[in-house]
Amino acid sequence: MSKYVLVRQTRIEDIDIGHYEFDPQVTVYFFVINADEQIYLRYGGRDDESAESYLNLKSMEVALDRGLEQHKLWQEGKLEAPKRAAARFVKDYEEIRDGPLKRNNCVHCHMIGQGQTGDLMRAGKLDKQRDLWVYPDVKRLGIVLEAEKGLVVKDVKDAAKKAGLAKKDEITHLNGQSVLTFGDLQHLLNKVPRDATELELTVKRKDASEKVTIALDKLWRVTNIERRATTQRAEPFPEFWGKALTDDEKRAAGLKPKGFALKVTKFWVKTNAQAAGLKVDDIVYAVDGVEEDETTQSATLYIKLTKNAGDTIKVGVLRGGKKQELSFKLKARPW
Amino acid sequence: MKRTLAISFAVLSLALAALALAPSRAGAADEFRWFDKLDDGIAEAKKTGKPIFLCFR
Repeated sequence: MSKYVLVRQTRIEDIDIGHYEFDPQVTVYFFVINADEQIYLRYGGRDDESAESYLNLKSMEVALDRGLEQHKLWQEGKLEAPKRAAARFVKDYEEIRDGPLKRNNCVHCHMIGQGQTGDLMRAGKLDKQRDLWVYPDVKRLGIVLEAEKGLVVKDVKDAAKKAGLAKKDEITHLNGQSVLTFGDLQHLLNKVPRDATELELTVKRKDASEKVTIALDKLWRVTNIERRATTQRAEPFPEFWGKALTDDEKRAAGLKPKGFALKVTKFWVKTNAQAAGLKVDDIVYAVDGVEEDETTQSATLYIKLTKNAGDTIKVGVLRGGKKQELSFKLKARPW
Repeated sequence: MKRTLAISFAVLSLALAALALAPSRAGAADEFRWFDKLDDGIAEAKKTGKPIFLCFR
């Protein structure tokens, strides 16, 4: 660390988040840059299982060493500066400008996601399928990385295996752009167009460079986005909160293994679903007759993705072993 | 008696040495200088020629 100038930025208001673009829904994120603000690499990122799947001291050490190598190249004039992205600040989001900034409160990173969704909705431009499936997971492509070694492949499955990616390959480029860390990889993966049908990885294999083209299916961006502020800010509010049943609980309840099954946990405020008769411990297993969806097993996420504020929906409810239907209108927000 | 005095002296010396070391250990975590603003970090990087570790927290 002594080879670096150390900056811990505690306020994001002055930061150009167009240039320093990052996943705002993570535990740790850092950049290695130079005095011209040229970004050498990013460190951070996560998957659905844990906020720390890709965070560890060894991979951080690898990243810091690579940062120094890049800096040396830059000092020797061997590193080109990419074009800087258009500037963007948190004050550019109406929701943040009129919210925390107006009240002189701290802007938390996840609020960037809320601001993005809020502003898109206000402009009538939110495309849920396009805008909410963010920061995809390489595991969805069949790539399991050795987290401590950065971008070394530990295991390959599915599309990645079919494409010829092999264990011990080290990913060096995505669609021709250099990646030095998992943070870089996830950042570029997020920029691959939603409707892309393939992506190209360049890998180092036994000191040779190989190209691998991975076919993308229509679900390649799917992760559990329900925890994200970008999703939570999206309308409508599903009118209830719940906890997913485990596979065993679903089996015991006689529900479909991959179907919706959300046990209502608590009503934080009075909701239309509660007024319609939904109770704590009820299990919601269907929405408008649909019991399963290829993108999610969460009934609440399904409602958010497919319904609008003002819609009246019917949910299938399992209570005391008996199925029944309840109908209620969806509001935009819980309060 | 002399033996007891010698042991006491040794114990006292050790305690004093530990006390003397204590502040430097407490400061070990702060041995790096952190800047709270990116602009200050950039100015330092220009002065020292070092790259910048920029952490958002």
